[in-house]
Amino acid sequence: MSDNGHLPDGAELATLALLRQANTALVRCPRLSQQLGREIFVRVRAIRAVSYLELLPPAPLESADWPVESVARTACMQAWLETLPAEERDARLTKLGEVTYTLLALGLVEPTVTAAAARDFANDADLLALAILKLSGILTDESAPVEPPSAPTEPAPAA
Amino acid sequence: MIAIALPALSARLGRPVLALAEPPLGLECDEDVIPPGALVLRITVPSVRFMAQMPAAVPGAACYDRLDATGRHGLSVAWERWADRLLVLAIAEPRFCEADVQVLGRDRELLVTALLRLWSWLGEHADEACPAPDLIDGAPRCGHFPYLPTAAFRDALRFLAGRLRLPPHEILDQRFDAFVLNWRVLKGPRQDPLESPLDEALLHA
Repeated sequence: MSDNGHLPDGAELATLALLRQANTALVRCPRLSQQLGREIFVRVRAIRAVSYLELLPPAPLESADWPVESVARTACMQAWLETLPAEERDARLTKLGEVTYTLLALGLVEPTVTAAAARDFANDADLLALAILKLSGILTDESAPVEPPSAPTEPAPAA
Repeated sequence: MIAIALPALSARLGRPVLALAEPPLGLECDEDVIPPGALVLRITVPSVRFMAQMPAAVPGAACYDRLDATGRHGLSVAWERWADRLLVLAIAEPRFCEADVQVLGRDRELLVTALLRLWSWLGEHADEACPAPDLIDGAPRCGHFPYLPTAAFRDALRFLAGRLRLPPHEILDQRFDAFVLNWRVLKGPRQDPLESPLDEALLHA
């Protein structure tokens, strides 16, 4: 875009379709792949950070002092949960457990699922949720593998 | 134009993706070189009215520290929502609605931070969790607020703005010879024939 409002030579205006394509990815489902004896992928997309935050219960005040690194942070969270009364702890864990399935409902493109149907992903559900968070920039660690958009795939059966 | 590189989108699309913005206040900036084949998002400047709606407390500030866990969580949600609205208003092309902001993926936060720096709302800082954006020409701009006039020039603007009862941005639009004349006349009698033209002590005399 030059001073008269034109784009520089060779540049092109981005389109929403192109940006959407850039922020979808194929993710392998290891449990399903093993169970079915062939490589199974699903297609996920980035989600808004606010959509994720709204799913979470408020973090404890002490969490501001916890380490950023995910393993150490999880250990701190576990230790903190142990300090809660059993009823409160169970309620919190139930709510956190639901977050995974709601994330899949928000972030799965192929197949699309409801939060209830996302339970069919069983042990793959956590990995897929991590991949969605990573693609969205909400998680920055390398724990969830995200394939480039062009990776070969066989779509997962509709859940 | 100022080009803000969007590295995650660039990596996923295999070509440079840039947000292109006008230099703030029309100030002269080094023109960033736009690489061939670049995909471009055009940036425009939102109104003060919108910016005034930003959440009241900032994490790390005393007002934030006084909030309980629920209050802090609500504030985090409010900031994320406000950042999405900011991008909806700031990205002129392609047009976004709030639900579309997710297509920026990992570059969303970087772009928000870069724009707030570009408009001199945020200064530069060495916080690794919030790195300065890559500039396409690879030449980092220096100073805490790299897109504001120098401190000495800001002193002159403040002095003239007070005397002329004009907002500083309107003084920037004046001819420089008029600016200098106003400043030399209004700052009072000359005290030293070799005085520095932007001597802070004289400005405050």
